[in-house]
Amino acid sequence: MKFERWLLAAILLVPVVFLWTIYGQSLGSHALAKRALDTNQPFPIAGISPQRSSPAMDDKTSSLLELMTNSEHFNGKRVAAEGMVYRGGNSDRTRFKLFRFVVVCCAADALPLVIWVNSKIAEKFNNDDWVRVEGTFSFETVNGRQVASIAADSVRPIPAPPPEKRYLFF
Amino acid sequence: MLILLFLYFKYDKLLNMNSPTSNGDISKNGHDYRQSSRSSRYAQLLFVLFALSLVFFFRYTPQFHTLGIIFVSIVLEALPFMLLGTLIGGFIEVFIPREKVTRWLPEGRWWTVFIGAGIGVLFPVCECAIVPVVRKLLQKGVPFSAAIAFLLGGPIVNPLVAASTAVAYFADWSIVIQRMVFGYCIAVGVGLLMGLLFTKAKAVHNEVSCEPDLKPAPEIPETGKPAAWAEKIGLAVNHAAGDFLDIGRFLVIGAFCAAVVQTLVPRQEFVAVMGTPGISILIMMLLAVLLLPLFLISPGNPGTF
Repeated sequence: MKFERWLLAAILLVPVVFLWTIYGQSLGSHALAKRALDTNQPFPIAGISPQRSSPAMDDKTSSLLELMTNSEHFNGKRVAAEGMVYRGGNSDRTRFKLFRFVVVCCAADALPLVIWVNSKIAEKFNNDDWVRVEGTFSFETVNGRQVASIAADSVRPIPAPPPEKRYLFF
Repeated sequence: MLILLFLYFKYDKLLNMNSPTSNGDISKNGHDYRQSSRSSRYAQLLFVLFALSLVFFFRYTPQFHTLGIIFVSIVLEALPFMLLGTLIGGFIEVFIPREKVTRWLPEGRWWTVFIGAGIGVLFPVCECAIVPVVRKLLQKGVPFSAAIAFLLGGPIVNPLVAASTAVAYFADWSIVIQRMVFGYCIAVGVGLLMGLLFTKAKAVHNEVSCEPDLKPAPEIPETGKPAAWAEKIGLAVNHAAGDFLDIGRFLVIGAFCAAVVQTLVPRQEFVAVMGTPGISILIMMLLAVLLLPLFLISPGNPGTF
């Protein structure tokens, strides 16, 4: 049956069409809003040792994964981290969330790592802007939960990394 | 609407799983392309039109990007495993004779369920791969209840899943043992229950394997001499390719539904519901249907939710 064959081919081509339209895109603040869990740690990271920082970073910069997995170690220390900005519905002009997605298996199970950033110039940045944040790492309590945060003395925009370097990997 | 479509496809698939010759046409290479019913074809056409209209109207929105990334990555990750499953199915089709299967697992014996649920220990097959394999086993005359037990137990009770569970739960062996034991028991229980409730002929639409003569087998040479190995392997690959294309569309549609749910429903809402034990089980069952392809491909990942 000819129609059946054409239909089969069309269904199998749907992912190819989608692949073409999403080329160069990556998960951003929309996915973050759907996936973030309102807890301190979005998933059980204790006990897993992450790979060392991604190749794009220099010695001074820590990946969000390192910060989150060794948060006790970094408490009170100066850190530098890169990631995307998420302002959400929050009207507070002096803070935003710095996030990146960690891929365990594939993009379908990518999970966001989030750190609060406090900075006087926070309002200059929009959702999904890539920034480099330098400041002091600590913990603070937001809505009754302990969250990781950086008191930033410098936040500057950086160019978005190439697609293969946008995610962190276990 | 999408969910209904998906359920419809799954239902249709189960019913038609074993009816390759009933109304399908047989191509030159011997694979039976199954022909869907008219309404199923319209539903599939509707899916293609819906997906392409999303591309056309929404391709520059962030929601579409999220949907597309999740959809494509589920499909890409599941495809190799499905390819493996269809290959195994193709080799079963060509290399394992019916008589052997019926001798090992005779029809109408309840104890075959216990073997069926445990086949995975020797023969590890993941969830993506198992449907084509079970499909072929049913055609080869494996009892219905034993096939169901293998369908459920095979992807849980096997050494690879035991290892990946151990990794995912940081070598917490009690969880590994619980998963294996309960997985086996559930597979046996459901297999027995299905055997009680349905006969094979009733459960599998247009059963062909009860009447082996009905199934034309152009691939078997009529001279009576066994085909050469190379020829047999070629036939197995041909069967596999046909099955792969045939089942691939359900993977695509399932992955799409999973991606839609992941894009539209915030995870925080799942967590809120998970607090109530009774409801959480119901929700997990619902999710298993909705997000099936996602669960299928990540047996080693406890942190999906």
